[in-house]
Amino acid sequence: MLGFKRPRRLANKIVLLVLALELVSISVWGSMTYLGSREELLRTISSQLSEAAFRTDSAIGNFFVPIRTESRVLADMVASPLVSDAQKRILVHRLLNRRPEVEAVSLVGADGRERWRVSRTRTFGPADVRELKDDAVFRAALSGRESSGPITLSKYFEPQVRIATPVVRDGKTQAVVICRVSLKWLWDTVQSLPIGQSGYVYLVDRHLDLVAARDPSLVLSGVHLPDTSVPRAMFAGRGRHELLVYPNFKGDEVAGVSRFDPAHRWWVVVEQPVKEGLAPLRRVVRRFSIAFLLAATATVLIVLLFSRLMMRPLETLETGIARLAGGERRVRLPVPRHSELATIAEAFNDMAESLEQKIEGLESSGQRLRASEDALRDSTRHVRLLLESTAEGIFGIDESGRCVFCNPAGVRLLGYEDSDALTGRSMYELLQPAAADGTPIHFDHCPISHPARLTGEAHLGELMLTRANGSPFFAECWVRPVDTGEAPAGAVLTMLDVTERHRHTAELEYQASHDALTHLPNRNYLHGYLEQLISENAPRVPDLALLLVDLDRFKEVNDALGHHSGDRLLTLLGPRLLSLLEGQDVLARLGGDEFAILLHSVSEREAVEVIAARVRAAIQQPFDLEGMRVQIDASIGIALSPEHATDASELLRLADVAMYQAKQAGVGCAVYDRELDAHSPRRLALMSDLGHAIADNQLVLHYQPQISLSDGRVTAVEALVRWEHPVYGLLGPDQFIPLAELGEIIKPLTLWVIRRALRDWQGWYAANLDIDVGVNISARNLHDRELPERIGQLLQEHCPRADCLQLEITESAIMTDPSRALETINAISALGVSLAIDDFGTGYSSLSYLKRLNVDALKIDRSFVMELGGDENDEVIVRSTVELAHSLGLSVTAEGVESERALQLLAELRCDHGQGFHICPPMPAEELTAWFAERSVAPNKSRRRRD
Amino acid sequence: MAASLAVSVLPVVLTSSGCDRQTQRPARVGIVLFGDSRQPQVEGFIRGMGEPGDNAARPVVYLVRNAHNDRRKLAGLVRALLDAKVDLLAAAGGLEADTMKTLASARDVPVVVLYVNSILQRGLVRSRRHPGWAVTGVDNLNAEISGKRVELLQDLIPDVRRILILYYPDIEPSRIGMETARAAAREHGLVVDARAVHSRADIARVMRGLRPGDVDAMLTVPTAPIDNALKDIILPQVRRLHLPLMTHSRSLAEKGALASYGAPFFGLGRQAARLARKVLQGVAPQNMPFETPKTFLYTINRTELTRLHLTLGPLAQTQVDEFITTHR
Repeated sequence: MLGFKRPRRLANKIVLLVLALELVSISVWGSMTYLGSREELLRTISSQLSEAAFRTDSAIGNFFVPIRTESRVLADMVASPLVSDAQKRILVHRLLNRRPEVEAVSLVGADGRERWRVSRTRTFGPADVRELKDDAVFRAALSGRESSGPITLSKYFEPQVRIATPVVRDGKTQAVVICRVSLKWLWDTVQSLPIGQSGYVYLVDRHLDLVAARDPSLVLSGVHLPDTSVPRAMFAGRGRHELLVYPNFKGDEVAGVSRFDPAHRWWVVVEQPVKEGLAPLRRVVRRFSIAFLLAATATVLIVLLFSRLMMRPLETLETGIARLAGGERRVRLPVPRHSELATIAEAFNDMAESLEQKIEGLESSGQRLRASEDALRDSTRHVRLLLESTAEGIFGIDESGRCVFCNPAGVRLLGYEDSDALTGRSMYELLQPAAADGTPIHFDHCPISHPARLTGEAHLGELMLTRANGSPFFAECWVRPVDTGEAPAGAVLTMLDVTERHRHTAELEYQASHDALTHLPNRNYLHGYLEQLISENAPRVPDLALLLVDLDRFKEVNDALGHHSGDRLLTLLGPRLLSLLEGQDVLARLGGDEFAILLHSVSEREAVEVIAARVRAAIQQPFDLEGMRVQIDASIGIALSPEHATDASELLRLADVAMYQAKQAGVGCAVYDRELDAHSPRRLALMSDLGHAIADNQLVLHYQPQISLSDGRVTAVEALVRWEHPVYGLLGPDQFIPLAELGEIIKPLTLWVIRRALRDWQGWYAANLDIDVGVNISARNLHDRELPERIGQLLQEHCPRADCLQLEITESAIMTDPSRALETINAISALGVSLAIDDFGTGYSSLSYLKRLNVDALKIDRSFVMELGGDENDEVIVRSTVELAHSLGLSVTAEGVESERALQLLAELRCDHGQGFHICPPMPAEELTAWFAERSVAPNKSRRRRD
Repeated sequence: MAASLAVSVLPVVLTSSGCDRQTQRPARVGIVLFGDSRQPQVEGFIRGMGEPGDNAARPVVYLVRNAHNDRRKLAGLVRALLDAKVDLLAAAGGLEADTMKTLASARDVPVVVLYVNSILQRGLVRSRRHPGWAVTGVDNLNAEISGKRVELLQDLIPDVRRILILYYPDIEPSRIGMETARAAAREHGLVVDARAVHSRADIARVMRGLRPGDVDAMLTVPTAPIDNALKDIILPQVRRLHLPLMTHSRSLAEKGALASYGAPFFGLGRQAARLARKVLQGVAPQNMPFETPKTFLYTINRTELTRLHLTLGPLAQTQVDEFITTHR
């Protein structure tokens, strides 16, 4: 590391050198010793194997000698003429008994024909006679000498050999004795000879064929030795051969010797695996290796120890130099005694002291420099840390608006790879600043473009800027001039990404101003938009038309098909209506089934009505909901600006009033009519005055007579209230009764009318005019639980009989709250007052209620009567009504009789009574008396109730 | 570095040098015998295994299993020995060899048969040269030398003419023995009265049905059921009729037969041991054809000889290997 070698490496080299020398010397010595020992061992093996071969050969001789002897004896005995055949057989059996290795004995005549044979296993019979005249063994014996055949295999694959002995008599061979000898015995003997642990013997005949081996299959397969790896030298000449090393049949390395047996001309081969033979040498080598390793290890350890001792002073010096080089100052080495290294150590110590002094001088001057450098480094580090860690993008801008530097957050914010892509470029061009609503900021007005104009930090607010890829984002920006005390040096632009906040705010604003179901603007939006529109155009009021659309029968859709279908209808309706509108027009859902359409620049009522008609027609188009065609309608109220109102709230309210008017009138579409507006100033004034009208006696009653259509007699009068207003003159009931019904004043007003009518009736009754008087009561009167009691009191005060009073109640008044109406009506009826259903046919009377009500008469609405004679439908309705009423036991009065024709028809239709202008218009009580006189027919009492 | 090298090498060297001193694993030899009658060949086998030979250095552990004459137990005993991972199986007889043929060949465990006959006819081997599985052993030629017994019987009793043989036609050695004997008898001018039997009852019926003079002698052929009936059924009838009885097994002579000629069991076992040693040395058993017996033993029961009032002629005396005496 420091450029010089460590002394320990030197020690290692010494160790390796010693080890190498030791290894080389021992290897040379070991190899020579090994080779010498191997040679000697092989000689020993050779002698051992030769001994085994000799013993084998001896065993072979020992095996055959008695057999040959016995065979010769037998031959001699057979040759004797004194020996009978029986005795010959006995001799043969004796031979077999003595020599179990002899399998069979045959006597073959000189002609080669077998005379007899004795075997251990089978009987000689005629079929077994063999001819051997061409047999080599026989012929050899016939020539007068003993012979033996080659080794053959029996039918049981067992080795055997034949020994033939001539039977000589008188010097002439008379016959031949052939002994078949089994070699199993011999092989057992030979193979049981110990030849080491795994040595073995095999026999090779003169043809060098394997004739006996430990593995009989080798013999059976016919191994010819020259074809094997066994050297031919083993079988050269006649004698014995010294040791050779070669691979055997299996390829294993063996040491082998051979010996020739001249008696049988066999080669006896003895082999022993070299591995086994040299095993003692291998053991020696192994032990020697262990000893060598131990010695080498010991040597290494000793050399290492010694080298350590030698190298220690050098290591100390090395360590000192290393410490000095590493910056340590007070380094001093121990000075060894009586060593060549003492001088070096002293020189080192002097050098170290000198070096220490110089370093101390340098340090004192450099210390201050380092302190200031540290401070600067810290400061720089802090700034860098600040710039790198802040989430805000910070850009340095020069006096011309170009980027000088920027922090990583700034680079990320603008979507660039690195700050180099920004440096030197115009920040204005990079950012393309625009206001939050997207309005571009002109270069000249942009503080980023002109840092020199800045007088202090400026908050630029939320701006829409552009990223590198052109995508916009929103950022809160500040710019602060860099004050260097000289000329303007630029500015620092800080920006914080508020895109998410901006998006969230926009989302909230949208949710606050739009309907979640239809995504149309809601009431808040519309109201705000209207206000903004009006304020933007102030003082001029813009031409606007507001259509308020209320869906009819939408509730039925909801009830019948469920809210899901209702919602679906609303979502389908939005696009349908929008398709009818133009650019700036606004469609809003105000809630439920109520929509509003704001039309711009439309001032003419007719044009607005045309659009409203289109809107209604679009709504009337069927909707396909869950496979069903659903048809609804709408009531549209129209309010115009500035004609009807000049502020948003009023315009909305008036449109709502108009819609209500349209719905009430059933006309579908209505433009706001101040007269119909209950909250119009005049109506409000009337409502205020009405409270005083009774007290100030401004109300009057007019009466309209009813006649019997059968005889023309006057049977009753209907009291109709009028208001003689001090300002507006005489007002009909339709002009103030609805107002009265809005409040509690209807109650005293109704009681006033009843009281007044009863008083007038008293006058007529006194004048002997016996007519009934009818008084209309409203729905609110039916809700007044005190009404029956009050009527009872009035009857007691003014009328001896209650049945002169007939209260007329409209169908709609009853059906507002049928059960309560039933209760009130029954209570009134209990007083004896008769009751009539007024305007019958315009409402939705339930016949079941009619049955339960104690009413006495029906009054057919004028709308069915006025056109009677011209409209067949009216006639049908009147007839049906008359028949219905009569079937219920009620009398029928037709209102609105305006012609003679109608009068006649009513009579024909068996209507009971008639009332109308054709008979008599309403008139004050005093005029009515005169009318009675003129009619010259004084009314007589007649019950209108049918009996 | 050098020290660490030495430390790492040393154990390896020491370990390898220790291998020389490691003892050889003992060979496990499983021996199965059908019954106690097989004991002679088993004893001969064990004796032969202990004789000096090539594998003298390798110790042998014997696992001997006896079926106690219950043939059904043989398969279980063989399986147990195979499960015990024996290196070699020794079958004491033909029944044991037949059982091992299926079981041992499936596990590739070599088999040495100590005593068997008719190895081809009984289907034990495909051929003598190529047995077809890892088996070798000693074929006692018991059926094949039935002719020799006829010859010996004639030499023993020269005036014998008609010889009774009981045989089981469906037992191969029995049938072969009978046919061999009949052929030999024909060669020597004798008549064989062969009676096929199928059960002990048949044996008893035939023997009881014999009348004096029907036959001159009786010869047994190797048939286990007949051997088993010898003492209880055959011998009483043989004695009733004063018939000389030549048998194939020395054990039968010991039970009371006049004579026996056959390979000695002990010698067969010993002969088979030499084959077993070779197998343990690594020679494949199928490379060693079945051997034939080294010797055949001619035994005369002197007690029966006396009872039958027989005298041995010179030839017979030469032929006899041993005389035994039994007590009635």
